[in-house]
Amino acid sequence: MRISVIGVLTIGALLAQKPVVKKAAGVPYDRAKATRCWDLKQTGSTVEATNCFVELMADKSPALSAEGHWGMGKVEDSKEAFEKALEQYPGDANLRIRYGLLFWSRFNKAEAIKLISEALEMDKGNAQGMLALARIMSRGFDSKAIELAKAAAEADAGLYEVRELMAQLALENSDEKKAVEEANKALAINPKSLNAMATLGTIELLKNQTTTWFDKVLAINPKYGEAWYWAGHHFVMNRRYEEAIELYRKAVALTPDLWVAREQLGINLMRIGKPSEAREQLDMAYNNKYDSSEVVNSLTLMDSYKNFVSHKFEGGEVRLHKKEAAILQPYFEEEVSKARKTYEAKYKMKMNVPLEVEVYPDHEDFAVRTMGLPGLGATGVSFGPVVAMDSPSARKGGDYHWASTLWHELSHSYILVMSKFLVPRWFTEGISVHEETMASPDWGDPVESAVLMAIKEKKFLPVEDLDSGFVRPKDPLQIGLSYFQAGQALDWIVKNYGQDTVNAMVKSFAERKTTTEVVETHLKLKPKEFDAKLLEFIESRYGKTANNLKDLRAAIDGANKALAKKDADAAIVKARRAVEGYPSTAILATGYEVLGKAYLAKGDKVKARDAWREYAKASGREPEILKDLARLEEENGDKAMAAAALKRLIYISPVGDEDLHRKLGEYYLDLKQPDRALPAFLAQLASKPVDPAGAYYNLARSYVALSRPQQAQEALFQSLELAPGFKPAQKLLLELENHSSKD
Amino acid sequence: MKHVVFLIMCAPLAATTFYVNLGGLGGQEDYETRFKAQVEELDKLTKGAPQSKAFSLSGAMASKAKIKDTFAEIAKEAKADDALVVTMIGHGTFDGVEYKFNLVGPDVTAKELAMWMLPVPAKRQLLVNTTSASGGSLADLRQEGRTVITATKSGTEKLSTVFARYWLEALRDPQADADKNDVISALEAYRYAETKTAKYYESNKRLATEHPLLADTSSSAGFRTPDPTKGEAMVAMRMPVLLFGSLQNAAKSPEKQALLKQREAIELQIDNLKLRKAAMPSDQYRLEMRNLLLQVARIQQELDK
Repeated sequence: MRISVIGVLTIGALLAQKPVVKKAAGVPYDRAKATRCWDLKQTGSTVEATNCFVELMADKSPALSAEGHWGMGKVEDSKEAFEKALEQYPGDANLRIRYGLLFWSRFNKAEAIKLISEALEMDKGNAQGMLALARIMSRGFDSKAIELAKAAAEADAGLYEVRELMAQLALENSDEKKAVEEANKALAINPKSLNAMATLGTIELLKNQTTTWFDKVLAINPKYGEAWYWAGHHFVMNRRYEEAIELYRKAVALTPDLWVAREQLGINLMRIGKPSEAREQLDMAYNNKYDSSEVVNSLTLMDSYKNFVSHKFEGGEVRLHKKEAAILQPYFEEEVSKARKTYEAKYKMKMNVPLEVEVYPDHEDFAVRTMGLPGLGATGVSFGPVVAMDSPSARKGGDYHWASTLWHELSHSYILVMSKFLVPRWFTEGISVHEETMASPDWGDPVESAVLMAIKEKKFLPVEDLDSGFVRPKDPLQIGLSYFQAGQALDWIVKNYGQDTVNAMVKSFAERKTTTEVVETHLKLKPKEFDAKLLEFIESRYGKTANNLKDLRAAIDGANKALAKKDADAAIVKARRAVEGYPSTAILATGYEVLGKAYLAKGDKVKARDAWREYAKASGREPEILKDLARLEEENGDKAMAAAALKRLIYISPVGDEDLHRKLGEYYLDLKQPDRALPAFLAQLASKPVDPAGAYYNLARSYVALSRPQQAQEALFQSLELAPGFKPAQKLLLELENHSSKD
Repeated sequence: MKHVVFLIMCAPLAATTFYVNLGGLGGQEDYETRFKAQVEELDKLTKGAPQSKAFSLSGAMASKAKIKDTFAEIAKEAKADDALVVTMIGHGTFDGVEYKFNLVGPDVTAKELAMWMLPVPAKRQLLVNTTSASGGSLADLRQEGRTVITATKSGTEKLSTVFARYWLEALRDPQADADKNDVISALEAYRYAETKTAKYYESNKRLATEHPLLADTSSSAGFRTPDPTKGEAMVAMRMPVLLFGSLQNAAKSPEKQALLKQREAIELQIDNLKLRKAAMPSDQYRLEMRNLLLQVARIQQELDK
């Protein structure tokens, strides 16, 4: 823990001040010797590089010996030599940076940051140190990487590597102009800058243009697979996975021991649903001691695939964990089929392949499946027709609407394919967020207070720069805000221009038009005009809530306090103040929650039910409240509404709650809808019920209602075998027996 | 399982079930309210059971002395055919050596409870300790013929428990009567409460801080998920906790005893058939089972007339 703190503090302090250009204290060994060896390796002179490193290994100076061992892949010996060197030259900042980079090469980020931060404490203006930290930060898409790179460039104008990095970072942000500019700067400093050439080549490849840049790279170093690796990286950033895979293949063909490329090749093969080949690549990396977290996690996940079962149906396939497949399969199949039909009609396109949905009950497995690493904040991801997502059981009941996520990701699947994977991030996210509430108004993420505050402060990004809010957000809030902004943008476009315009915009993106061009062509607006109109639209929807946020919170707070003092009347007055006349947001749901509780405290069940109906409409998802709503609806004699309340819960928390499925099945049977009752009772049975005899009996009742007597007999047999004295089952058995004997 | 019915039918007509419902010290208002409400509910359920005698003590009433006196009174009154069901709701502590049930005034230890229960002549005994750290009481409370259920697997699971909530639910939810014989056995109630407790932690994405155990022989360390087909929890399987619905009435109506005995005989045949299931052809098993199930159903039809 301390290691991270040191790192963070140092970076913070560093960024807060302008770097001081200062030379490190001189050391009694010739660092140029090591630089020469690494340069030979970089330019593909393998034999010469090997000889050079071997010579260094025997150098009297442990600092150089460490470099030699490192170059020969002898990490432990290198580490030992660096330790000795540090004892000899404790004030040598560059030595610490090199040692830090050795740790980084072995996936120890914490130790790397610690050592490099210590070096920067000694020598604040050390450009190599800042570059090293920038590289480490860039791997996690941390926006500090850009600031550190800028600081390094300022500290050493001749450091071409930092320009290479800045070019890559700019391209990650879809800022092609800046990427070209930085790559050219690198080439101006060093005409043999291979990574700058790779970036320029990648920009052309991304535009489907022919490029000579990679030929130039290979002319300098015929074995420089890293150029293709970086190209692959940027294709992944643009969700062009199939093409990325081909680029990674080129990388490993040129440089078979470029393990990071094999790692990414494996991960991306997993993404597009080719686990066998993925395993081959990942195994190869692992067996060659490239045991990065991504490789190890991915292999571990693949080992667990035996616990998943696949279910195919027309137009789709779902892969679910064995322990919950029987519960979730009917509901997932229903939603995938419905989404496919809806999107094909709406987007006027046919998906030529089945939609594949993988559902992970362990969120970290989903994260590994997606990124190769745990810790991903998202709940779903689309790799084109393949979608991976959290199971509802991966999250606490009430926190996650799986169907909303499924529809969101499947919308991506269509838009990505339709746009040939060229759609900008903001647009595809916008459509997906828009689709959530189109599927059902109470789906989607309710607008949180933090977003409402941002509306008040007009914190939105210009549409031309909105992608950066997803790729490299300045703070965690910016991601949520960008989703919201993009969703609102699409709501506005659909409202004012219609779905056909959205489809036409997607097609323009497929033709490599930029956001500016697409907005100007289809919406007849300049991007700034679009931004202004969007802001106006958002304010018309949420301005009142945003402006009165403080009062709304105070009203809810007051209502809760009144409720705690058992003053239901006062609670009702205050809670009403927080809900009447306001649009659907998270705060509206909270207001209706308190209002319902206050009415219940007063014993007014009808008004409590009305409040909770509104709570559900405002995307309120607390399972206990929704169950209570169902109970109140039932008490009022409306089983259809009771079933509707519980059906909402199926989309929120269907695993581990046998009572939910049982009650829902019973409502449907009473409503003479046995076709709906049957999946509910099958889910009850799959939930390992406390009363399996009762669950089989419920199944039998559904089969009887569906005129499937043989299956009814079988279910009754199972029920009575467990509980021979179960009277309702006995009665039904005798009825069926009498019926069949009459036949 | 049918032995439960046999015991209920043959012995209980003359036998009494003594219920001791204990609510300990809450320490905080919400716990005080919860424990009091749970003991009240338990009191209502057990007082409503046929041929029962319930003693419910909670809050200030549940002092060490009162509890001791209660067991002494039961010891005087109870007979060998009777049953004793003790339920403890509240907080417990375990210092590595001794378990204590927290009360107003001096706490009571598991050893003291065991000692006070010893003179009670009822051969069938059930003790349900739903408190925190209740696993620490298991060793002291075990006795031949007595079923002991604890909310936690050891004395080191010290956080407050939810097991009591589901134990009570088991006593009022007909679903807990898994074999539908209108008797909730200790094993059925335990399975219900254990399953619901585990699901509570799973669905709330919380690390489970209680792992219930059932022990029903003096030597057993307790089972988390006992399996009677392996000879586990056989005493608990035969220990009735509550009777439901028609069986209560049937127990009171001697004229239906003949039909009940007839039904029981067939149920025993069903049990025997199940034991032979693995060794016989599937079709034959299903045919025989189906015939027996139909016979039981027809007798029940007569009983319900």
